[in-house]
Amino acid sequence: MAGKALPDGFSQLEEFVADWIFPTEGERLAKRISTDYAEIERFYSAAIGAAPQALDLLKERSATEELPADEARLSGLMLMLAEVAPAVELFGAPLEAGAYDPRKMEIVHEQAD
Amino acid sequence: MTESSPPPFHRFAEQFSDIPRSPLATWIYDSDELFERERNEIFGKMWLCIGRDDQVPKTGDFFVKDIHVHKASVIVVRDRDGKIKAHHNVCKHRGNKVEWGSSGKCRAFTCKFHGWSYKLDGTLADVPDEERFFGFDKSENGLRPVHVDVWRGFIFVCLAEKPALPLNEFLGEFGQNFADYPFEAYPTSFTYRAEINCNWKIVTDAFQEAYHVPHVHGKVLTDYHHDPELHLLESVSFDKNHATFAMPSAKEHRATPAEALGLQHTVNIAAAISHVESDEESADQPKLWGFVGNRVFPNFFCDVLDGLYFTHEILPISKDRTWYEHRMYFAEPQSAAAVYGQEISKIMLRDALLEDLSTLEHTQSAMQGRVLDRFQLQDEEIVLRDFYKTIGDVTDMDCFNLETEGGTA
Repeated sequence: MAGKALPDGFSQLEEFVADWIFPTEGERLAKRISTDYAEIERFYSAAIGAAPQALDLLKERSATEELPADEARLSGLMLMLAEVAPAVELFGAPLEAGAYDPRKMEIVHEQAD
Repeated sequence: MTESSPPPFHRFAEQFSDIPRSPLATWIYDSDELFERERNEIFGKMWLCIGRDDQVPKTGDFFVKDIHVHKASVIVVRDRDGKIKAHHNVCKHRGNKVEWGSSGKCRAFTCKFHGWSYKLDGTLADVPDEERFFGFDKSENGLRPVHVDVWRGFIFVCLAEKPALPLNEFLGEFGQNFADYPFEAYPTSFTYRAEINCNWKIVTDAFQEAYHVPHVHGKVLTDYHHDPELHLLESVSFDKNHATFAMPSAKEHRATPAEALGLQHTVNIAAAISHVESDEESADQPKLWGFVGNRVFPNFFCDVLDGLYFTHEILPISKDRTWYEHRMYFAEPQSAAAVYGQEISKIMLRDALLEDLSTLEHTQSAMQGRVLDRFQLQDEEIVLRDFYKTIGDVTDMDCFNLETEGGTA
């Protein structure tokens, strides 16, 4: 890895780089439903605080072209924020009580042909 | 909608006086006889939506769809002329499957049993040791075709020998009224699939009323708490077994912090569902679609909003098991920040879907236990009541007859 893990100005997110970045929705969902709620809240608090600045940076970047490694990590953390936001902002738990078990649902758009 | 005068309590009963108001019988979810008639009269005869043309964008792209109740495995493929074709996935020689994958790209379909090979359009191209057959004509031994047609990118098949109506007539007013919807503007799709342990009609019921929204979705779609009339349908219309039902607009949308950040970069599902009316809407602007549900009988919902749409595809596997697929369609994100905005929109809709699916297996279990003999349906559940009138008309079994399982309509 050349240089820092994240672009300048995001040191508060450095501690989440190792365990909170995943390439697929399925892996992000698995992280969400297998993590203690207190840990999810801790990640959410850090990520939502950094999100306005992160999105300011990412709005200048292409949706399709490969990002530099540090910015790609930042984008990965924002996608994880999107995954856990309903847990913290709406449910107060990793999943809503009684919801259909997401492990019984195939995420077809991530399956290779 | 004014706060002082709620819509009349029985407005749809008055508007659609031929649709029963009496309780719905519950044997309909556990009846072998009804299921057999549905299998024959509905899934064996009607056009079924089984996908979208963006699943097969180029020549040779294909997917395979199982229509379990008819033991049909159907190959949908784009041929060399760019047309979409459908074939039974059954080799004309001795009935083996010619394609074993669920999707992919190929130049030809070749049976692994004896090497018979078919072109994309289904014609038989090559037969090893062809000379050893007797009076054999390759031109008569292509893959057996399945009727297929495409409306605005949606692929429909019909398993009947001859469809009772061409697809555009089958779709009726739905096909006309939504022909202008900009489906192509939303090419980014996400697909979820589940096999659910309940009757196919219980899955269908979940998506044809808004009475449930403030309750099942009480945490995800919070606007419905702030406006006690937001779940009341704005309008309903029926044509050719299909239903169109429009949801009203919220006065304002209360976005969560993570959602509000996404909204700065792209549309969001919760905001689109609320469809906050803008002062800027005018005649010279593009048509705003609000949030309009469409039940395309028998197996498809096409729910359109401003800036995105989503679909439900429902196919029975057996009386108490159902194949279900949900797809949501967005515009292409214009920046890496819009990718985040789209992700939160997708996750909120996915989590709402987990709520929609949460009740279904419980209901099936209770109905198989014959705990209840009837469901009371209210005026806002008009689209369900129409659905069961339609099922009764098509199968000649009265779904509102509490006494007689198998009683004729």
